[in-house]
Amino acid sequence: MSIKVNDVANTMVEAVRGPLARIVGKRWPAVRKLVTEEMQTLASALLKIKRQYDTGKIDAARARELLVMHARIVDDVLRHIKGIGIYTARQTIDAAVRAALSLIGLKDPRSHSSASSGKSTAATTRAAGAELTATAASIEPTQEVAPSFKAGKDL
Amino acid sequence: MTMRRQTIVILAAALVMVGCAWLSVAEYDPALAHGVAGLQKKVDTFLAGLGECAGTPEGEYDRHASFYAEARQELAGLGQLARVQPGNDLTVRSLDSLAENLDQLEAMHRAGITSADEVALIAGLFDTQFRMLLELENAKKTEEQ
Repeated sequence: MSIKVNDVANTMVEAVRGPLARIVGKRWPAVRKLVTEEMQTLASALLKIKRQYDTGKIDAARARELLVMHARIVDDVLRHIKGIGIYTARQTIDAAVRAALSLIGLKDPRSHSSASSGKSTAATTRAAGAELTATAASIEPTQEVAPSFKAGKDL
Repeated sequence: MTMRRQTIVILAAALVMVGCAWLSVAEYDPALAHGVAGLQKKVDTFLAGLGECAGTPEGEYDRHASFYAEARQELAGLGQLARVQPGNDLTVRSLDSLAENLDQLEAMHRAGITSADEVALIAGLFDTQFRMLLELENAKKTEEQ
């Protein structure tokens, strides 16, 4: 049976759509393009591993090693997309803050965060941001997306 | 100060506090981004060379062991740079994951990588991993940057 890259990629995109859409919210249409491109690349790699195994170019142990690398990268891609969502949201809020401050003729105090006077405030408030990214980083997307890839069951 | 102006000041202050508290995540670090781009180039060049000599004595692990030591050292340096900034967990985890894949590549190379096709596949995986990490670093840029 022939398996197409797009079919595999679409399955992967559909699997991650729900969890990612919850995180990136209204930015999902923009993020979807990036997700689809990356999932196509990863689906293509998956099929290449299968093809090399089927044709005897690599043995089962090597195929399994490549699948572990692949699964690690799927995790990375999902984590990065979440991260990009977080940073995009920060930029949106930054723009709103600047607009509000400019209305009253003040500068954004965070623009001096590297100066000694602003450091303590920035350090305190960053802890909450760190918590946010730590939460995103602690999610294990592979468990939702591709448990069989990790275990090499598709072989 | 008029009532309207007072309201705007309070709202702006609230926005700043909310923005800081929830979204004051790690900032863009050009040294880190350039370091990642440099390492990507190094890994890419290495794999291109390996692809040409895979399966020959030239491609054997012993002749390339120094690459892994250098790349690991660079990755450790980038990890240190990333850990300096609070709120940089995503980047730190990604660098750790990159190090794990590099270890895996080294183990596979030690055991023997015999075909250019296999190297091309591995190069594609590393390319995706590096590209996404750079996308993440670039997403940290503010409008001023």
